[in-house]
Amino acid sequence: MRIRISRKNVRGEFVKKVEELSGQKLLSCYQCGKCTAGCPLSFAMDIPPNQVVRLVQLGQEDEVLRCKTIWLCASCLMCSSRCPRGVELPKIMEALRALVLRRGIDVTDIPKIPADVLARAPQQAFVSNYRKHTS
Amino acid sequence: MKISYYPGCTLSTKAKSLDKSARAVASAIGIELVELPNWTCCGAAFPLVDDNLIGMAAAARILANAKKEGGKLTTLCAFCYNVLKRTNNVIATDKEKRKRLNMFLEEDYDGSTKVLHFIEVLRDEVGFETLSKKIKKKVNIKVAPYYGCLLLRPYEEIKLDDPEAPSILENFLESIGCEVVDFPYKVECCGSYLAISSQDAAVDCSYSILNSAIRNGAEAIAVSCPLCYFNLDERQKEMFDRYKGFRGVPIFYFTQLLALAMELDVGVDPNQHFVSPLPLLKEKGLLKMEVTR
Repeated sequence: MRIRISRKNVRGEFVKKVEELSGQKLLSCYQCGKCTAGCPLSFAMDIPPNQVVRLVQLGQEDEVLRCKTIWLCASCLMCSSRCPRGVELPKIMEALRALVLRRGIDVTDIPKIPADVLARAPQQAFVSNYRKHTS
Repeated sequence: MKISYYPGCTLSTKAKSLDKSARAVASAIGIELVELPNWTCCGAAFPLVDDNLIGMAAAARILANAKKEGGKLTTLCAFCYNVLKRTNNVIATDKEKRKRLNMFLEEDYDGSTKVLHFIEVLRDEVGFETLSKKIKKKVNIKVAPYYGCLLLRPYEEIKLDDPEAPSILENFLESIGCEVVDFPYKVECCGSYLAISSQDAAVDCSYSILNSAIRNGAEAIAVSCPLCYFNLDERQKEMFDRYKGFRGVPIFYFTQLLALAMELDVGVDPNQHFVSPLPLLKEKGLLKMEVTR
């Protein structure tokens, strides 16, 4: 697939917005991959966490906001506890989720939640899931 | 010793056994848990984006309340602990956010409430050595301590224990006579709230943890978070289906193990476990007559 890199997207609104929402300097990441190595959910993700950062650095808004990765992040903070550059990846993930959710999109399909989960799962699971995955 | 207690919504319903066993052991040790009046849900997830202040409002209100009741607050749910501690840090260090939250809540809170997880109270206010003298029976089970993520991370804000090689649960378990099983997945995430939206991924995460613990000789797992409990216990149903040779292992809240050591007649309700702990407890001679609801 074709990736277009230009001043327009690398210095564009998307990158600015992610930096503002997450409070992170994206260019601090030098792609060592420790975050991906430690991420317990990376096995299920389509784009590994460090590549998500790379794509955001390059302003690739469409690809990033369409990936499954940001919805498979469990906010376990393993990545940021190991990042040698002090980049808080969970905040970047949350910023990306916010950019999707604030368009009025609900990612968790509530009617599709299995009955046994609805009956047995603790409330904290629902509260945190809905706050992270719904608008 | 008196301390304000914030149970949270999950402990009052799905995780009653954690609440009941904690109250029983606290009372037996001499800690008076005074439930916070008019408490509401803490919000469960600490907002990670910079402009989401409303996400901290619920936690801020609880902290302000706790300040009025003495300024020391303990909780048992790792989610609540994490949200309360991190919100407290923001209020204590960020003047602008403190002002806006106080204006919204019509409070005048300065971030000085001390937020302690109950295991912290046992370690720092009671002492594990003192605890070991108060037990009546050693819990002679090989237990693997499972920390999960919210109890330890982010270390800079939580500062409970080392985030990669913690020892607080190990020290606690040794003080009640358990043989501690160390295993490499003790600080890996169980899947957390993905139990709602991506069940398969959460089951895989939980399986890795259980498999590692079992292979290292664990007969039981001790947890401190109701969601970890759900992912590790309830989801064993799927694990039996998916993974050939999976043996299954009972999950306990750390307070239930302490209750067993103190021979308190509460905490282990077989209906609240998918994998029943009764055969193991019977084998180890730890069943005191019948277990109660």
